[in-house]
Amino acid sequence: MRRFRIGKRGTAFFERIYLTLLGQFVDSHGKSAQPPNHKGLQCRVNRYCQGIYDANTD
Amino acid sequence: MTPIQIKKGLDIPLAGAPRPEIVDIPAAKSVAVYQEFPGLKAKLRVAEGDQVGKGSPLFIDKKRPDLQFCSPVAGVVKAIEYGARRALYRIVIDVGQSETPDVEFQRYSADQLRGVERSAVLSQLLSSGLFSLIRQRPFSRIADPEITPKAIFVNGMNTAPFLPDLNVVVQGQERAFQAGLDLMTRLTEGDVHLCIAPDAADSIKSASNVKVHQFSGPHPSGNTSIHIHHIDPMEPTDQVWTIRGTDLIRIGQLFLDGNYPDKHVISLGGPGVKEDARAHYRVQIGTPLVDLLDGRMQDGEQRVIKGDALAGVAMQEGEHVSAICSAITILAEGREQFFMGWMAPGINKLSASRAYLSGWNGHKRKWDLTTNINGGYRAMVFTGLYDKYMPLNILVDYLVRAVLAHDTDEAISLGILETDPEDFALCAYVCPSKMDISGVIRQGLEEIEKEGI
Repeated sequence: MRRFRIGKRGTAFFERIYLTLLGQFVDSHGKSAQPPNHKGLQCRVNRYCQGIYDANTD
Repeated sequence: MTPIQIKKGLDIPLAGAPRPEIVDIPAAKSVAVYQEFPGLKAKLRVAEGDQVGKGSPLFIDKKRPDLQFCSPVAGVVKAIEYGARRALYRIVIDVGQSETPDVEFQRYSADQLRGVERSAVLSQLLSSGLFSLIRQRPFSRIADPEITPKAIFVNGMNTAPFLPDLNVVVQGQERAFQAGLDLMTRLTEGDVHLCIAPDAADSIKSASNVKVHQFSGPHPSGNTSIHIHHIDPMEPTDQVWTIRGTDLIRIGQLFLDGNYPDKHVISLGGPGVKEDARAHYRVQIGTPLVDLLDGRMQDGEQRVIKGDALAGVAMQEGEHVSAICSAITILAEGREQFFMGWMAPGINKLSASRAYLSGWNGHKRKWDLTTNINGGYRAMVFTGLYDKYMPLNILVDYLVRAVLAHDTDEAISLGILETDPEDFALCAYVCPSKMDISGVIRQGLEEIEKEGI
């Protein structure tokens, strides 16, 4: 029987959806392992680039 | 001249471009000289209360005592401030009368500069501190005067928002610019490459004794790494020197006039600057930020950024405009949160992604962007998105993963030595996972520098 193959791009696509949903769930409960960065300067100060960022997010 | 067209990249339609004119800022009452060179260990040459003249050495590099850093003004040393681990942070000088005379450097005519000895050029650059304006790749550190570089790249263009326009800065300084180029030819046995934009002024296009290359296309076509990659790619053992065209003018002035060049031109732009104040400014080196920004900022909470809006870092209150600061960008602090913002159609939010409506035609108008990161940290997902914005022949995902895994051999084979963190600023900008990609690359370069190639 021929196996269903989704390939690298397909894997990445599903991985992305999974992480998006997981990320939203984790953030909504305030248990994100990463420090939240919605607070602006305080959490941004250690980044290399401290200017502008694209609106795109997952 | 060989025109080179860059296709990959992105021009950010940020509002607040500086006008192409230079405004003079009155001389400051106190200035500060910063030790802002990573890896440099400073040894002081002055103490608090000492009188200094213009061009007097303030501190030297412990590893290379020939390399001095000089005072841009005559006056009295008011304070010597230290940072973490008691490393020198800055020296504050009150401008005024001083019994110490100004330092006079050797003066050359334009013709003499074409035949001056390499050792004489190096000696004057080191003793004036202007040698620190020349950087060495890989690692973008102050160049090593002991080596002869394979080539020197002069960056005569900028595509990041909003670095100073060389066409504006060079006006009236054409002689100094050409003198700087002539001096660079004395420092290498290879070529000196001047990289310019298609709209460069005739005085820049007609530069002599150097190879002129024209680059066009979206940002980061103005980055030096892109120029090196397309003109003379580096092998891991190669060393090339780089310098900004705007800094070259100061070097030319030093050799032509024999005086320490105490002023430079910086650009002031961004949506946080009042509309009539968006321009280029000629300021004394070390001028307090407050002197420059007084009455020129928009109301509300603003973030002042040293450098461009993509790769710049935030400045704190009480800082001064340092010698290597070429631009100041001001953006409003963005701390808003949007409920389910990731699901919104995105009409009023600028994005390069066409998942947002602004991705289709949003780049046709100018945007008042803020410092809002527009999202939260997520896991790194292998999507190949970064490669769309990276004109270098580099696989960004693999490179970032190699650095995070501390696999320096793999990172070198993937071409990290050819790059600089600023080249990844656009990748960090578009990253939907909001990864600090430039920071990762910087960490990788530091690790390789520490371990040795």
